[in-house]
Amino acid sequence: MRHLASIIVTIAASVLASALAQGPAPDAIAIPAGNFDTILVIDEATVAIEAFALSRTPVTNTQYLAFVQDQESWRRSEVPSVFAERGYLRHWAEDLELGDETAAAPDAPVTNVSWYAAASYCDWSGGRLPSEYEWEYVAGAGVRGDDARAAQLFRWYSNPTASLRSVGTGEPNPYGVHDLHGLVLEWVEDFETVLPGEDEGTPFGIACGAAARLLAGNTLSDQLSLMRHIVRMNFSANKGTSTLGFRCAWDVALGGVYAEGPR
Amino acid sequence: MTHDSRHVQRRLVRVLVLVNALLLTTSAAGQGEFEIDGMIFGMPEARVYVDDYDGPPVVGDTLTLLPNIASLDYEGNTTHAIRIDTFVQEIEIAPGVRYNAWTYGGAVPGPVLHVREGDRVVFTMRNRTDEHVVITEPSSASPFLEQLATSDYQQAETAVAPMPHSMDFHAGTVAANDKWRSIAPGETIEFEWVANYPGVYIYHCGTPMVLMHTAMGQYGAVIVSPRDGFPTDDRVDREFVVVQSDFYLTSGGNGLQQFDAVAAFDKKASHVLFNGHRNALSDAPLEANAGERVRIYFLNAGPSLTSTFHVIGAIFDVVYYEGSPENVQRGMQSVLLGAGMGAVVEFIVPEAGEYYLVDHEFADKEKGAVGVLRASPRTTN
Amino acid sequence: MKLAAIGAGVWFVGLALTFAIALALAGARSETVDHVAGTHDHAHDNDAHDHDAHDHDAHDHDAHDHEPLPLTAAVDGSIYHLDHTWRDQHERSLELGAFAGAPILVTMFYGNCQTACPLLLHKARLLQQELGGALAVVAVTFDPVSDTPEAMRHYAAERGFDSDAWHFLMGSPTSIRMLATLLGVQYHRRADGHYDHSNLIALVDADGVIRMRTEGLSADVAPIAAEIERLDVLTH
Repeated sequence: MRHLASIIVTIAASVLASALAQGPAPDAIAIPAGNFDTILVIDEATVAIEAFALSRTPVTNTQYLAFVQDQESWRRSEVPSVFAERGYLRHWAEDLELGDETAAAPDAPVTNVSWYAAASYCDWSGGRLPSEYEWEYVAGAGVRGDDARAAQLFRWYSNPTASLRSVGTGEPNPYGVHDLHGLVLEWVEDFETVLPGEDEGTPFGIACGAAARLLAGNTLSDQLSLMRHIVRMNFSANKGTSTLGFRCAWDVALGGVYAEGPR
Repeated sequence: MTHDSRHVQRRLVRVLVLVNALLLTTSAAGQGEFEIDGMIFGMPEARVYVDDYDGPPVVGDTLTLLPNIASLDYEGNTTHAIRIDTFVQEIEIAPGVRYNAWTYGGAVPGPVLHVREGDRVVFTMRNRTDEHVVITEPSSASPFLEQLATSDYQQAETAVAPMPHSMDFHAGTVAANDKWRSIAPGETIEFEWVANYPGVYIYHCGTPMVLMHTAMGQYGAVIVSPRDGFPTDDRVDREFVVVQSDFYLTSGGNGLQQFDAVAAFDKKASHVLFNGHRNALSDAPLEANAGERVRIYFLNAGPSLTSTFHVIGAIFDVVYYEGSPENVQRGMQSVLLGAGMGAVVEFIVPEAGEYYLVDHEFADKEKGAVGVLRASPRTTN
Repeated sequence: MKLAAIGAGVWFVGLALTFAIALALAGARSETVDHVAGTHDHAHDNDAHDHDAHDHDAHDHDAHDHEPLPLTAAVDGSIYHLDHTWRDQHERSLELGAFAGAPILVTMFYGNCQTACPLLLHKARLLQQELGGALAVVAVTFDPVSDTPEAMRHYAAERGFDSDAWHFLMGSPTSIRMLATLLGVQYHRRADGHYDHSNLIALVDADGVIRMRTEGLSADVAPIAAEIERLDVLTH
């Protein structure tokens, strides 16, 4: 029965591979342009976000399997350590077999992927990782300013393994995007950037609370964004974790064939 | 030998001696290190690397489980090569209250490190928060692990919660952006520091959001004994370490408690405890005899609350505030300590009976900041 | 006479000791840098890698050839595993792996940068000269929109970076971010089109492994060149 399941998944993944290789996930959500009040004020208090499309859910194990079937150099036993350390896809049974672990369920978000792996997957899909601004812009909808919700999310951040499940279950956010909170942390394109203004700037360390001075506001949800930023910037690009996944973004104009979520 | 050549020789010797002294100084101290008032500064840069280490998470002869303190069985100074890994552990802090703690060494508070003023510490820490780490098997890697195997009062179970973490030793004088830097799960950091001052110091995680990291359990105590000891050393009969800390937990819906951010920002602790468990110092009370001199190394680890430490029925004969022999206070009923401050307190046990250690800020006491010292009748020794 | 002899003997020992410490520290420093390249034993068969240059946007689903690896890609920690395609100032397409076989300096900048980048490229040039002048410098722009091949030719000509040893590369945003991450360069595009960025020059060896990184804009390159010479990378 297990063999049948893995055959089915492999076929499905191969089909998906050809489909995905051509472009964005068919149910990517079109995000309209807008202004984003930055939470961490690095140089701009408000940035303009151009319209883009964002995956409705994090990338799943099945979707990622399609990628490594197509791209041999990204298989677990092939990938150079400079791109993905030991631990890459450790929850899978084999290079091309998901196996039985809960975390390896076909529709669970793929984890244990390095930043390079995530960026390459999105590149292969004709897209890219979302920028931090884009991610926070979409993720803030319905959460930003809601301290009760932020408190709930802080609980999740303190104990993130409590809730691994399939993507796409539960309520979407006001844009129609699922699972931005409470399932896995997500890589962004510019995860390790905090710089003062001016092009002479050299990166400064953020030790022991010094980051708080960058916060525009001091609500609980702002603190949560700050914490996400610090956590991401302290990850290593060639290492993932068991609670870190990703989704992709595409530079498209509105009016494309992509799903438009509820406003 | 002519007068001139002897003169040249003397000159040459002087130059050589000078250069020699210069080279020996720099080579002895290590490149970049320098000395001021007998203290050593200018530590080498921290090293961050990746390895597969999966051995004992706490390694070192002078690392102990609360309330124990290791004796320093050596003269003068030495170099301690120690390891304290950081990882998650599901622990109990009060009957029926369990949560996935972010820990050093698997316990909250973490292991007690004891060194002498002037000692060097070469510290290694691996971030093992994305793997299961068992601490309850006996190990000779440290007294801490040996003691934990028989005294597992937090009923530890393994858990996973991958996060970046760092280590800040208040006992060390270094550049924080180098030594106290954060490392990702799977990485290891190695650095050294010299215990330049005596004291009772906190160590804790410095990764933002620091309130959350410390509230989740990443802190512990370093005792730096003075180079020449305290004046009262010869009269002390018993020594214990007590660490007070505040917790901000709320029901998580899966049988475990989780971090309560609102409470943490409001400083509304759910629990205020000694040595990480409501019953730590009552299920296993401290023991002494009437007439004995008891010394407590007391640290208020916070993260946010002050402590007014008092032993009911006793008066502190001497307090070495912040653990320095130069900060002598006599006849204190209580010691006021801010978050992250410590003291060495000594009191004479007046008679047989029960002595309650408390945080005299009674809201804290009601939340668990109470312990017991049980005194037996005087022995004639 | 005797005292002088003893003094000389002790002096020699002291000197030897200092050299030993200096060498050990130089080794330790390159070690710190090298951790990016990895110190572990992946048991995978490197020869099964397919490193044909493939255009990233066209997905070729044919079975891959199993050719032996080029020397560079066999090294686990090599940045030449990044097989994306770049354009240089002469509109040639190339992969980074084209630079394998000899050490190079790599840096990142952008053309509209007024103060830091000119200083950074000047530092790179001084370092190149200090090390003998033949060392290739690969300068990758953050800003492929403004920094077209033609713009880069002008930029290079104006500033005298137009020997064959200077390579100005333009790539896709993903390629740029991936290379920057490999090098450890942080950058952030501002609303006004300028970039906040760190200033790095990396020495990459013949196999594509980063052996030394120098940050900052100081023109005092002699100590850096000396350290590079000590690392003994140039002669391989």
